[in-house]
Amino acid sequence: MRVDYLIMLVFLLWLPFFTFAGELPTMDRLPVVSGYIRDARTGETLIGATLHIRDTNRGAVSNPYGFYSLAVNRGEVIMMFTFLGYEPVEKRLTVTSDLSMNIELEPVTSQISEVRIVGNNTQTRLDDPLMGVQKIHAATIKEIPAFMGEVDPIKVIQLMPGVQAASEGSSGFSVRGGNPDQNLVLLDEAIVYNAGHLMGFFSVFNNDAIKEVNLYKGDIPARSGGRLASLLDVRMKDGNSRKFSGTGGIGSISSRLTLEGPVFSEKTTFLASGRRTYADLFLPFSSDEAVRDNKLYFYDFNAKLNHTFSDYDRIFVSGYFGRDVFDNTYSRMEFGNKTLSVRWNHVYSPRLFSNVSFNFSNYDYLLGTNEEHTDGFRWAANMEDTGLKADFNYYPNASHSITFGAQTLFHNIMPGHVRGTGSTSMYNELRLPRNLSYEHAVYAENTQKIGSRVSLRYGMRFSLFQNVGKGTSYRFDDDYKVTDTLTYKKGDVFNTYYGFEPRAGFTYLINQKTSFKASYSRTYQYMQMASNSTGTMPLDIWFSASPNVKPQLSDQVSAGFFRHFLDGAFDVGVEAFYKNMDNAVDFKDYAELLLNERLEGELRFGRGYAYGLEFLTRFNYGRWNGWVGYTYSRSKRQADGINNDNWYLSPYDHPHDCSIVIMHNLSQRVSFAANWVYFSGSPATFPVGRFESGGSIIPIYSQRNAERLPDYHRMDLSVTLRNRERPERKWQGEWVFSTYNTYGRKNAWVINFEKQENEQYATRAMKTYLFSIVPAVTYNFKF
Amino acid sequence: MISKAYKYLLLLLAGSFLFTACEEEISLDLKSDNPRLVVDGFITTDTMAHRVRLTTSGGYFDNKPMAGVSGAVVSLSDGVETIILAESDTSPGDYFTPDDYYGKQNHLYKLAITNVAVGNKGRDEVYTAESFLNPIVKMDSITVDYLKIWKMWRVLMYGRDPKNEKNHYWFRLKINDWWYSTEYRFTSYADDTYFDGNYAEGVWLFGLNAEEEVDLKPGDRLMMECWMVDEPFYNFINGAYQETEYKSPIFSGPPANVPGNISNGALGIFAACSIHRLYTDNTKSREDFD
Repeated sequence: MRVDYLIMLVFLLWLPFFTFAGELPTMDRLPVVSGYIRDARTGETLIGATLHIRDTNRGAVSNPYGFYSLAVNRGEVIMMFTFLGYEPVEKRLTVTSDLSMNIELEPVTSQISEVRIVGNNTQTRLDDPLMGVQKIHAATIKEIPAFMGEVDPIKVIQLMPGVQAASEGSSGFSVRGGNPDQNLVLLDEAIVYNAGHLMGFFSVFNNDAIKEVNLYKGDIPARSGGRLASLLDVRMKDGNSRKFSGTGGIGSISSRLTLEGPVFSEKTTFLASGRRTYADLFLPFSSDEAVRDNKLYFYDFNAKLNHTFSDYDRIFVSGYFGRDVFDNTYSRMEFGNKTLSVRWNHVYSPRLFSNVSFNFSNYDYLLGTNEEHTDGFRWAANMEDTGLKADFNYYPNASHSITFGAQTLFHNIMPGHVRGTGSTSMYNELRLPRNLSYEHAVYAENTQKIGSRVSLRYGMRFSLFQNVGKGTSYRFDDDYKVTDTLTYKKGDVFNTYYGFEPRAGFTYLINQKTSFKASYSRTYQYMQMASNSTGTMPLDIWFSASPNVKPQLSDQVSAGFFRHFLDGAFDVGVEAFYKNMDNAVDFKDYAELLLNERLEGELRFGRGYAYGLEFLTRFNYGRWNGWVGYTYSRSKRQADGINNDNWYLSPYDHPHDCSIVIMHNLSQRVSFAANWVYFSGSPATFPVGRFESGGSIIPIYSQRNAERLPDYHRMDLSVTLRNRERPERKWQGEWVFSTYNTYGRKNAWVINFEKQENEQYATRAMKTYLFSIVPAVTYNFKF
Repeated sequence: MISKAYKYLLLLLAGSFLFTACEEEISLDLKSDNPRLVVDGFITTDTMAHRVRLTTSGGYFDNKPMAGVSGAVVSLSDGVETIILAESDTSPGDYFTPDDYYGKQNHLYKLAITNVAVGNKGRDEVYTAESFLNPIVKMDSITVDYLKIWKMWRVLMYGRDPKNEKNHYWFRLKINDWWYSTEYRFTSYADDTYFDGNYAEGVWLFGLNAEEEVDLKPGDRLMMECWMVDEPFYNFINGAYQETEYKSPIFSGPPANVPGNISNGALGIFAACSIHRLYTDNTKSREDFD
């Protein structure tokens, strides 16, 4: 196994030399202007900032590391650099040869602009042949009313069209009718397998440590893959290179502190961010003594260190560590994620940028009883990914921008190990065999401009998946009974899948304010979660493709119109998509998914499709900003042996889905925000009859998911009151008062059918709702 | 299912996270399916008149007992002899074996039902079921104790599971003359996946909430029935348990029809089981555990 890695490493590092050993001399090509685009106040690089040569259609965008490169004609040029929320910068240059130029943009603050329209400065790039991308900055996320005052990027993503919480309050989400495990969630390029704290009510992402969040809804660039529905790319801040600073807050359920700054010089910066909840402070108010006995909290820690050797070399080391703890007299449970990313950015030439990264991620849990009792037990599971990848951006001329690279991931899953504790334990030790696999990929993608109106993106990703020993696999008959057990020696590759994943996009600029886009993408998914509940829970484990489990496959086409109004203050888009899924995984009735060696016998395979129309208007007009989104979409599935082989609605089918988010700066010191969410109730299975057996009244069901919960809606509000800013005062504080579900709608979380107490034959339907009005107060500070 | 302990752990976990959650009744119009034949029949090792009850299914909110199905021909075979069960005069739909009938261990019992018309199926339809009567696995004893923190009386069992055979256990509890286990959700069940061949030294089988369910007093006599059941009945118990207890989007899978073993689209279960009983006399009251 280690030999594989070495070969891959050597290959990755030398790739650019093989490919670009013969860089042409500057005289034979146009000169290139390249460099980094940064925030002038903090030195943070800006991702996706645009540059544009005035009076031409030439332009470029900074990559995920803030690097840009653009070939320009010799002579005098005027370059415009823009980024939402920043003052545009115009540079007049006389270009004769390659030029390295770093740009700093000044953030727009309330002091600078009382009432203004920030023009040419929008979220959606009309000419970019990539669709279904939602980009949200940490600053925007912070403005939106938060549940219990905990600012949460995933909750904000769920307000975007085509995205929904898996169940109320969950940080699991469904994109375009897909399952929560069909989203690739990356934190600084490391995979996060369970993005939820406290049963998913809060996500693992601490907004103070985050720079921005990008969600790709199915039209995923060739550089990423492995999930059908979306890529959620979360990037941590690099750390302020200009001065030592801090942000933090004390909230209703947690406190947090982030420190960042230069180390010795601007070349090295650090960021450290921690958070700890005290949710269990509320448990003593419970009427139930058993609940009062419980301890329940989470903490997490983000850290990042980066060093700039020169404009050509930069190294980042970033990590995350988080833990949830649940403890009482009787039992204890812990779970959490760890990630580590080590990245090296290297600029080979003004036209070739590279990033090589090593990524590690781990998710584990353990639970058990504290008592030494006969049924005392201790149960642990974990999954670990180790990956290496190299990504290159090559800008051969002004019309082409090429990305290419290679990746390899090693998955190591320990699905469960349980043993009895104490000398009198009745339990045998059960250790499920490890599941080991490799996931490799190579890709190349070109974004090409043709004339002044057309842009194309065409790329191919080739993915290769291998199950490796030491391992065990089973053969099943038609009734899913095991007929044969196969074991494999360490290092044996006993099963291989591969797939070509074409990705393509097309943009036609109808005029300077309007464009038409279309795209197609195919993705394979080799890893999935063993969960048949709609929400996610900490005990869910992942399993890989195998001789019995074919990789899931999705093909998605989408098309849409996009238009900017009022100089870009309004940004309107309409997008239609159709997605077909094969080898979709579902589970048999009463599937045993935990501690089951023969998990694969519980799986049922099928297909699915989803389609929809998404409208989104983002606005940034004077003191107002926000968005209005509406989606009409459907999502259906079919699987062998489920619902009598008939098609049924995905649990994430919500035909109508509307979100309105409005933020308003009343003055420099007061701002308010509101959001309203409405969607069709989740599909549910209700009884169509009953029968009596053994004293129980047992429900009879007909079609799966044939009914719906009542429609969901709620409104959240927040008001932020800031200190008056004074130049001599370093400390700035603000109070945020918010309410979740302001008008106290009792949204159904689940409907249960039950026998009435003390009535032998009477039954009733009971609705559980999680929250009524949830007020919260948070004090935030920065210095 | 690993243990009662695990279930309580999850329950507590849910309780702690969801302590703000509330429940209220909601009015719903449910669709209705065609009525189907329902079989609820048990043959045990006890010597008695064993009952097979035939009813029809009804609408979920039909808040009345389901009518018995009369006039059926119900035959029962243990592989050696076949008998016809007699319908009760006083309780239509109840079919009984003779009073001196008992199930024999290691026999395959077959049930056949004819001459019933239910829903869109006529009298010429035949419904059959079979069940293997597994031998008794004798457990040693039961005890009770009280968990103060959860205000809960626990019933603990001692005994050995035989090695290298798949056993399915079902437990029912009676306190004095009162059956606690009146429904599947008030029973306990386990297969020996995690403890095959081991001695259970006080495995927790029942938890009785002292404030909401029953508070034991000194002198209370507890009787626990230990049933050995076959796999189809075990799966039925598991389904019936899950479909009648609380479901949540976090911990529960989608609702599903409880899998029965009656042919031809009929619902319910026919099971042949061995039973033995364990007793204990409670000597303490809650205050003794302060």
